[in-house]
Amino acid sequence: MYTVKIENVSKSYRKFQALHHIDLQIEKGLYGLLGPNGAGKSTLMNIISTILTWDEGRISVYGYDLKKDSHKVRELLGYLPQHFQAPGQFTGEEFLHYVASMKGMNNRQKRTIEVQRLLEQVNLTEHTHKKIKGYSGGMKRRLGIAQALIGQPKLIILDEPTAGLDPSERIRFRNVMERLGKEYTIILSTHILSDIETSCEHVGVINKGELLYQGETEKLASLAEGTVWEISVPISHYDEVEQAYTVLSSRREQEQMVFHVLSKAEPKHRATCVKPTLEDGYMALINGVIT
Amino acid sequence: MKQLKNNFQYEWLLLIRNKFLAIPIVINIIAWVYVLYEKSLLGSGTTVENQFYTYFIWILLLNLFLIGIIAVYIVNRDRDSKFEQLAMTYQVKNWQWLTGKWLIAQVYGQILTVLTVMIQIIWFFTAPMTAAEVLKQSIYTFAQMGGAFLIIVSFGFLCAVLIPNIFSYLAIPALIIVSVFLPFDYTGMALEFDNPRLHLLTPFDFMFVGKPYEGIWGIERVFQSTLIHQMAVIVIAILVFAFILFIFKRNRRSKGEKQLLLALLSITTAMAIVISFIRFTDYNQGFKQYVETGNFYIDTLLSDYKRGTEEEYYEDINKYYDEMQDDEHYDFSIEISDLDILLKEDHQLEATNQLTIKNNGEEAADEVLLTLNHQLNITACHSERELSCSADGDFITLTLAQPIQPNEEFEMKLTYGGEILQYFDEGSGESAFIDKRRVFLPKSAGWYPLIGKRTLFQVLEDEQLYVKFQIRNTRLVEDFPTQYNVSLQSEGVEVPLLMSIPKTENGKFTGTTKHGLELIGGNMVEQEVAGIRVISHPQLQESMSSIVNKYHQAWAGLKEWFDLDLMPKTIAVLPNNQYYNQVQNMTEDFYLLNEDTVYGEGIEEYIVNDLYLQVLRSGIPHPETFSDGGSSEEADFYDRIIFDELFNWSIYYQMEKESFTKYNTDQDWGTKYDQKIERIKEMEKQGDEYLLAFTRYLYDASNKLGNSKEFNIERLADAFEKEMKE
Amino acid sequence: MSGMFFRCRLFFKKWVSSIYGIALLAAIPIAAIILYHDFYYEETGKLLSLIFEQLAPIWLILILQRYFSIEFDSGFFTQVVTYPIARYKFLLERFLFACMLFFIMLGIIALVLTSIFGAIIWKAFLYTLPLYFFYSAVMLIGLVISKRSLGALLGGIFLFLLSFIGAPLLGQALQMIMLKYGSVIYFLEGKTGYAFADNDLYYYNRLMYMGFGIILFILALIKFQRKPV
Repeated sequence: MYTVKIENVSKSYRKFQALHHIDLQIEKGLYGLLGPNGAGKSTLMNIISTILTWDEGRISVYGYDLKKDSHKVRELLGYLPQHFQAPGQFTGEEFLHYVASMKGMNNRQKRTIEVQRLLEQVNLTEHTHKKIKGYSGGMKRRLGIAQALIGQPKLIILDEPTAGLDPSERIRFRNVMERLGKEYTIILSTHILSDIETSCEHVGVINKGELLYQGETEKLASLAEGTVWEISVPISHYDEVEQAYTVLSSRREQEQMVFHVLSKAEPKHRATCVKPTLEDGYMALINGVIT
Repeated sequence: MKQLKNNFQYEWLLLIRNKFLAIPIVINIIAWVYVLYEKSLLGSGTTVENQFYTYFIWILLLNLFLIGIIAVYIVNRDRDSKFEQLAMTYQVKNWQWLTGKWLIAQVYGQILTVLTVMIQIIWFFTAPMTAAEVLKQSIYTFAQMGGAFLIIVSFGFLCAVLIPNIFSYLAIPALIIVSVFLPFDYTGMALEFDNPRLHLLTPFDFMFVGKPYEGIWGIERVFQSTLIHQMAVIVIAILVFAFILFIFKRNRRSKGEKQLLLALLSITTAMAIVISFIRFTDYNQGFKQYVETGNFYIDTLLSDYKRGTEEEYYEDINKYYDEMQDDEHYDFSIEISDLDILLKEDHQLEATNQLTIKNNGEEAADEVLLTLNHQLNITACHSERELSCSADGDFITLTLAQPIQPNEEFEMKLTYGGEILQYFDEGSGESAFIDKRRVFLPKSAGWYPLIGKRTLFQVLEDEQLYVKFQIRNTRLVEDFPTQYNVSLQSEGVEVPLLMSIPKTENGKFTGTTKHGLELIGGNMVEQEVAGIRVISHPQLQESMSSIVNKYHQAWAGLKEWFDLDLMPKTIAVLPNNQYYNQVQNMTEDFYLLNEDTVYGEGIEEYIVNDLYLQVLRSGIPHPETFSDGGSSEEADFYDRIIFDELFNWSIYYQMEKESFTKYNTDQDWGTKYDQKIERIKEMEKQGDEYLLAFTRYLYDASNKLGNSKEFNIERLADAFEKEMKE
Repeated sequence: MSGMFFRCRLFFKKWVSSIYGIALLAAIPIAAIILYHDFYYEETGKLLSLIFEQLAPIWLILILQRYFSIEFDSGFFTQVVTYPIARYKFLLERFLFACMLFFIMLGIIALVLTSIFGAIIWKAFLYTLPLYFFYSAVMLIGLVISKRSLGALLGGIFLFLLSFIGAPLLGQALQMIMLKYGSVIYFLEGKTGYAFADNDLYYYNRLMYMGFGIILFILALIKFQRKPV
């Protein structure tokens, strides 16, 4: 059953077409949204989180029409923007109370329980009474995640949630997400493919306002089957290879350079076809090697 | 509601944790400390109300700016940090989000209001004022300031929502300047482009000149209309806020919210229209009457008047009023006037006047003219002699069947009544009124019959003014004295009433004067200082006693040295705004002082100027009316200046006994003057009295020679010294 | 030096390539023309006061604000201070750029007005300089305290409003709007022959603003130089 249905949605800012007839269906669980900078991911997320309106098309969230019943959608929504800012004069706890009150939790006792639970979840219990302006970047990010999770939202939209988190916090966050993903819909936008690879079953790829792919994460990798090659050339040929192919990675083995490159046809250098990763699939898609 | 409370609480936290927001409160406290310091500089010779309201207006304006900026800031803060965008994904409703902020801005503003009102209450209680009076004044302050903040916050929010960048801050000073600047600069003459009705479009009631407080009349004139004005302001503030809610993030607005807002918008719009209309008519009828008065008296204008430079303008104006003095001789006199008068609040009066009229001329006449303001209607006109009365404008013509012979008298009785309310300065002040707690009927209002054909108002055409004319009260002096017996009654007037003639018993006044009657009622007391009756605000009693003593010394000196008997029997202290009445009414019977200028340091200089003006009316030439190096027919400019200085010094000397050299220290008129003044300093060595005698000699010479080149100080000094030696 | 010249040129280019920038530059000349044509002035001083003391400060405020906003509102200044340039020099440089633009534009207006009113324009201009300096200093203080151009803007507007509605507070000696008084114009014209007891006052008035301006200016620079951002 799809929880979020996006049908034929377009959005433009003056002359710039940010989204171009997007069709997207999202199920319960973690959903990864991929795309290069400026692809339209944030626009799409802002639209789903009721901040922006769109020009044409239809979006429904848990059966509610996003245009008509946006207030219903907001009852289900938890959102973390890319640049999360909180009023610095609040302490972490005060801020979460404040947000909870605005999310309709007016019972103080319930709210306190919820706030404590979340502070624990994002590992901020120690800094409860510290003012936000004294928080580090990662702490602010975690606070942002906490505010998104207040009120047990059924649809959680996270724009670059792990940016600025240290590795252990990232793992912690990933675990929380995976647990939540069992019950709720989580849309995750990130450039860190490993986050998606390990957590998301489904993924969508957007580039230049167009949806290039949607489906299972594993299948994205297999799309690039037959287009990823490993070439081994002497170091002196470095520039030549770089000019001829889209290079995914390179490493040095003694006097030889070993490249992973994208190519529809078999490269003229001595090459072997290798099994693509998620990253390879994504790159192949973005670079138009596969369609 | 609970949601709103939460929002409010958290906004409050943000507010008190922002150190910059303490700045306005600190500025306010500094301002008031400064005012109290300044007040002590002014001396205690004035009322606390006068001190308070002098500063209140600008402190209010300053706060308007600060509060407006804070309102913009409160909206912009979360938008600039993008937190607003995030909050918009929460369930919080538009109205809850904005109302929390709006309320916090209001609370902040009202903290300053309460601070001001508290300062006012404490300050006012240091003066002998009743609690009721203090309460009334604080209600006034609260309504003015509270309402003004309410609406500036709403407009601040509107600017912040409509202009999503730093320029929303600029909108606040722009708004304040647009709405307040014209009335703020308003000194009682609205220029061509300045429709005085637009002065109603201010965040607080600004329909007064200078300050709302009017001495013995307090804030009575403005109080009620201010409350109406502020009611309109409050409603409009809510209306604007409802409008903001209506346009804010329309896509987030639910249907229910929309309908509620539409309802609120229509209710507040309707209320705003009704209340504003009431306030508008309240003012507009005064303005209309002012224009009607101007048109009624338009015959008196000088049609060939052209406005030149500012300097020329004031010169012309002064000349105009000098020329237009109503000193025309009339042979008839009112010998006895028995006036029974009933005053009612709402500016109504009813009067019965028994007149004994005498022909002082040498020819018999069958027509006698009287003047009575056309606002009043004559209901009966009797005499034992056969006569007919006819009224045309301000003039009543009595046509007698039998001519009245020289030195013959006849009696007649006149009954009249009507509304006497009169306005000055485009209706932003009243020059004649009868109200519950304030009464003023100057002679120039024409509220009782005057003998002869007198011009009650002078109208001067002035293309640069919005109404295209200026109105002034006239100076009226009769040729013969009248014995007045006035019996005064009032309905609904709660303040003591006094007249320019002495009171004999309760409600009865009797006196003989050729300067006519003035009637004053207000918060005032009467005392006697050096034989002069002084009427003033109770708080001015003490300072007036020392000031009048000084006046007395000066007048006594004028009599001793110049044989000028200008000492009045009564002095009344009126507010600044009655300026024109005062200038025109400096008579030997009844002397009006200006409340604003009679306190503080330098009172002696003020008295010198005041009395000098009084002396000018006796006709000595005055150097300001001719120019430096004028025609060869005229006296030398510096000679006139030196004579002026000497004359002023001789008045000053009566009070301070200071030598001329010391009095003259700061004068810097160039070398020609310095050369001439040496001669005077030479004479001074003979003693102050010697110089006073010389001044008297010059005064006589000036009266005789006028502004001719014969008036030459050096020559006159030679003559004087020769005379003295003989 | 050449680096400074390049930056100056760059800023100027950015200025004239935005509609707001051009509109701002055009605003005062247009206002001056309207004022000159549509209103009747009994005295030169009134018009001079309107242009130099009442309109030009707004202009100065907006120009300075815009120059400051480029680096302060974007937060880029935190980066700039890591470059090998003294902090106070950086601040001073931006201030100079703004002043250059302001004075060039005001100079053009003065030049045009000279043909109508004569040399008194330049004397009035000179007489108002301390006031501009004081405005700038207050704005700089606002800038370094708030680290945003908003602080400078509010400081400037506050002063501007004070010059109008705070006149009673300032008293006679500290009036900011002076040129409208005929006697001040006489003073500037160097006229004698009448009583000029107040001449010293007119002189000290501007001296005072210059003095306060210098103190505030230095304070702002010191604060900016020291304070870790």
